[in-house]
Amino acid sequence: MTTTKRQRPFLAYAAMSLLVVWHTLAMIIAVSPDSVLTQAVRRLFDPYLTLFNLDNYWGFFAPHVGMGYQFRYVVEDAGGQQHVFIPTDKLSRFNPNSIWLRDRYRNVIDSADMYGDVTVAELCREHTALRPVAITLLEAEEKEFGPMDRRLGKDPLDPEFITVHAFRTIRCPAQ
Amino acid sequence: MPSSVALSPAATASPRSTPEQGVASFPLVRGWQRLWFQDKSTSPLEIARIGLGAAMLLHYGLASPNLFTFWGDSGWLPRAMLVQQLTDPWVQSVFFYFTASWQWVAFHALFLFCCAALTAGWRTSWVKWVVLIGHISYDNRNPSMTYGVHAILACLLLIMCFAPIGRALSLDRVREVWTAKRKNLDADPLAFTSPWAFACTRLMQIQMAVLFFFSGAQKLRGDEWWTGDAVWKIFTFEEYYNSFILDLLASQYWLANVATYGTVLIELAYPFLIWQRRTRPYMLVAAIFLHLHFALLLNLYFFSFVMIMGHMSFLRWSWLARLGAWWKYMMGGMEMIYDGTCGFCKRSMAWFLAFDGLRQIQIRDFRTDPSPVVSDEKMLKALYLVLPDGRALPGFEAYRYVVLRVPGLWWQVPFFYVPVFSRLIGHPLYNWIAANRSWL
Repeated sequence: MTTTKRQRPFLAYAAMSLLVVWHTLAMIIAVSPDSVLTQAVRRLFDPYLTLFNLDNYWGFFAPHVGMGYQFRYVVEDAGGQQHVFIPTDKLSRFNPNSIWLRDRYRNVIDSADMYGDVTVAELCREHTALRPVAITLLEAEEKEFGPMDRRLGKDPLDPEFITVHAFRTIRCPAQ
Repeated sequence: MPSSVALSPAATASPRSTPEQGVASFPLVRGWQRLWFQDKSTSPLEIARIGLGAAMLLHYGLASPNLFTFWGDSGWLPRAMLVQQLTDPWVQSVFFYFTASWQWVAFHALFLFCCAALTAGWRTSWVKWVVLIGHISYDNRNPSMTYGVHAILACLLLIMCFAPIGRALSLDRVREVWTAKRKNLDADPLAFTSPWAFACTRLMQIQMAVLFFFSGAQKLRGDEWWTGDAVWKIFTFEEYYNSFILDLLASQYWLANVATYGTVLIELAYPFLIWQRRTRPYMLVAAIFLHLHFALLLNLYFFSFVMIMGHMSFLRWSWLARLGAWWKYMMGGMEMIYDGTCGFCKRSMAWFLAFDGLRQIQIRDFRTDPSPVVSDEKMLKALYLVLPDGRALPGFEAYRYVVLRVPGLWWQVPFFYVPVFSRLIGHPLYNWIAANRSWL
């Protein structure tokens, strides 16, 4: 069947309407909480949402703000000496890369089994001059820090407001 | 989609009814058109395009030294490790198919070039797709590094890919006008408008409203947002630590409460009040104010800038028109007098005028229409710019005056305004060109 010149604008209009309805639904379904209804519709939209990275949860600092943390590591050298490093101290907040790096450190803390080995291998290379033998990954978890603490001249990263725990020790790969 | 598809209510007045006009006479269809398909320009989307393109160019450009660390197979996330995480075949990245390191470098260079082209609006119809594909590819190659702003960017870029962008405030538009003016300097190609441009602007608006609504609604589920402590807690994090702000909030804790409740209030009010004629300006200012705070106090510059660009979709066309008219009025009229018998002069004039989107410059060919201000003898030596106060600026000085006052020519300001150097080089260069224009 061929379309006439008179039908073409109408078809274009219908196609545009379909696309805007589809995309609007996709935007809403992507973020809607799970329910029987949304789960059913989600199956239809999933490929579209995934392919274009539209499947997002817009929860910035929400629902909970969470607790602060800091990634640290200890390099143990061939002589048995330990050197503590805080990589975030070197990051400039004006450099967009710093956010990527911070996300990376968060991931190392959250999924040490997955990212630990690669991270340690890279850190061992970075500190070759120290002749590293092993690296211990640490998380400094912040505790509650109130306005009164600040008025007393304290800092959120003072030892009394953090708990440092080692979550993995990995030997450096042979150079 | 060209404007001929517009089904405006006015079209129904035609005595010979076409099928689409017949449909348009239903109130529901008219409402649908008003909601989605008004015949408008792409200007708000173009502002977002320029901003997002520039932000991505900077963001990914600064990551260039870490290309292989961030996204390479020998970097933070080796491909073998990534494969274990990937279960969905719809998660795709061009990096999954690369095998040699030069391919990473070549793609990264192409991507950065396309970000620059998107900003400038050069070949926008295809570079926007490269930017979208590239952005998604970077995200999917190393999902451990992506965060909120990358998700927002993907959403906004997809809408821009749907949209007919590049038709205004772009080199594509410059080329269109230049082509017309090369044939006839008085040609004035109509600004592009289309119902589809409006529909895509609407999609971006809905995206921002959905984002704000869910962002606000999620906060309502958290205790810290109810107790008013959320902002204080955020500033105690090592990542957002700011000694001055922490001291201020500690001594005036009510500010932390106001900031916490204010954030939730703006995020929840925005999706409802942004649509109203009267409240839109206030909501826009509030949203931009919020993001400027995120940028300055939390150092979330990239995130805030991208969000502000998303909010640009809510700029009214009438505001932009008024802004343009105000600028034109403030800068005053400018008349450029040129030699109409000189081919080079006409070509360069066409090129120059193609950047004058606000049509601030009037032109006069002294051969056919002699100027009452500048004599023909003077005109034989140089081009002149006549200002409303009667001043006539010759040659290089004319160009120098114009580039600062015509927004489309601002990119030339660095060349014309280097102290001493610009005039030192510019004057003799212009005089040489003017003297030799007959054979150029």
